[in-house]
Amino acid sequence: MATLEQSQAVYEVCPRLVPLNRQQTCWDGLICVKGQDLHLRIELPDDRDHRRAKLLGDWLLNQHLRSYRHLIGQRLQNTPDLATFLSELKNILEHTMQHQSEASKSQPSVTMATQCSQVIGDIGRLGWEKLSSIDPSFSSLQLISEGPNGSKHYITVHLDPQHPVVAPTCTTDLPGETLELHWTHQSTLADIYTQFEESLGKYREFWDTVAEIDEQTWVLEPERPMPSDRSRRIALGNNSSVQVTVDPLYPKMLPEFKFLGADHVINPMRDKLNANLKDWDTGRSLLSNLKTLLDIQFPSPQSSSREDFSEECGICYSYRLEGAIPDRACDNPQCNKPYHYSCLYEWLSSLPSGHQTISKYGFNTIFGNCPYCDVPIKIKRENNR
Amino acid sequence: MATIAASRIKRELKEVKADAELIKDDVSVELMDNSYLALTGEIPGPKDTPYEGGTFHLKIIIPETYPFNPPQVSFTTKIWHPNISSVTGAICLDILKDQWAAAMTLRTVLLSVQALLSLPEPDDPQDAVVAQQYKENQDAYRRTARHWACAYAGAKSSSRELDEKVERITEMGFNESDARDALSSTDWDVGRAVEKLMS
Repeated sequence: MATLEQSQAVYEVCPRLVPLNRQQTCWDGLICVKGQDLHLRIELPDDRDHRRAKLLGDWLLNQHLRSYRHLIGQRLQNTPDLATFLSELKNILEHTMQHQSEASKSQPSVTMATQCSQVIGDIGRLGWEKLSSIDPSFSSLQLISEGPNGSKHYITVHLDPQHPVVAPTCTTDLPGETLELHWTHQSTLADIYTQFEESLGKYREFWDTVAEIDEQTWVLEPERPMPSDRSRRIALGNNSSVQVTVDPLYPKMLPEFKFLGADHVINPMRDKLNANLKDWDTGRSLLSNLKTLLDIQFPSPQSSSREDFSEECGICYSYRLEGAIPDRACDNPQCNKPYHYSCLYEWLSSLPSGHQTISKYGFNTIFGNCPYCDVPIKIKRENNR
Repeated sequence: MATIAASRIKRELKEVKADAELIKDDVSVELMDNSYLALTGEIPGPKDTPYEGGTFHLKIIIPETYPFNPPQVSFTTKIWHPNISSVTGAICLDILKDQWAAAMTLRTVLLSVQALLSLPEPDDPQDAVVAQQYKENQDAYRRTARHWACAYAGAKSSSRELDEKVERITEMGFNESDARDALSSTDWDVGRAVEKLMS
């Protein structure tokens, strides 16, 4: 294309883009998109083949075109001349600027800024050492409180976009109910923190109680207890265990018990516990009460290893199966093989009915034989599983 | 469910490998691919049986419902045995059917199959021809089983006489394994075997 024709065609698309030399291999000027002028410079090789053009521009143009490099390269190759390419480029720019203006509308930046400065002020008054983490948008933050015995507790505060008019929501690692916040328009983060520390005080006795259990017995579940966990499954040996669920506000009261394991092992213990319930002494710790009432010494980390109490399921050959650990065992004292509830249930259900003299189902229970010792074994259907 | 099957097979393989180091001439199991659902097994022929000295290969398919259902096991090495099909390699063994228990493992299954080689159960046959021969002509059964173990499972000291009979028929233009099948089911009567092949 002759230089005159080219400059005319370019003028029609971008009137303020002008050639800088006679050969028209270098263009500089402004490209106008949606009323906004963006600086653009185009360098062509000596033969003026626009497919090998080099595009330069100010940071704003770069910003707009950042994710469209590939598309622009494609358009350069496919358009017949420079002017047509420029009009394609204008289309792309229009499209991206439309998108970006829509995205920025959804963030009212002014109110955000005031909220941020208020949050920063709040944290400053509270003390920065109490801040554990905060997200980049300043809408959720985590505060830390260290107990006298070195234990750490966290509260996560999610600020409402209309903070402080609307109360924030909090999540904690407290064992009880969720923290009920008293919140007025004048409240600050410091008020939340004070309320959090007050409720921490209420649970101190609870944490001491479970800490004693965690230290002196083998807790099978939870594997790594969190401050909010109220239950402990304590190993008793012989593939049996007792699950205690402690009341976080009254940790020395009689907890909930659930014995797990073979009947011949757990029934005597359950009977003993029930017979001695009247001797429960709320002046003593939960663990020492348990020891007295059951009249046993719990296997402890000092005298045994964890492997002694984590025998694998006889059916799936694993210890942990979808989070569950074996909590059933064959009732034959010589066998005593442990099973996951789900594995034993599946096994008994898959046995052909011909094995039993009568139906293998009855009263929500499935009957069958232990896959190892062939002694009758049964399992109750549990609805919550 | 499939994850239980795969993780259990992983554990079982480890145990089979550990046992193999301790016991000589033990059964062995290998993976066929990475799925843990298809394996190959190997059984040495038991001592004082016609299968002695042979190595028998098996194909083991693990159902997704394993260990609640038994694995599917069949011979890939041809074998002459009343409870194993001489054509397909299918095995008739109660623990592979209704007597399966989750307590059993691939190792115990292969050991049971090995025990079956020592103690055939002709009253519960998989291959009627072999079972009949076993009951009526125990000596012919032993010679045939021995001959098959040499021909297919790599056992040594085959009987010269039977080899020659197979050779005579293959010289007539018949395929070797067809010739062997025909001779085996006719108590090594060459005339009847040829008749059978022609029919």
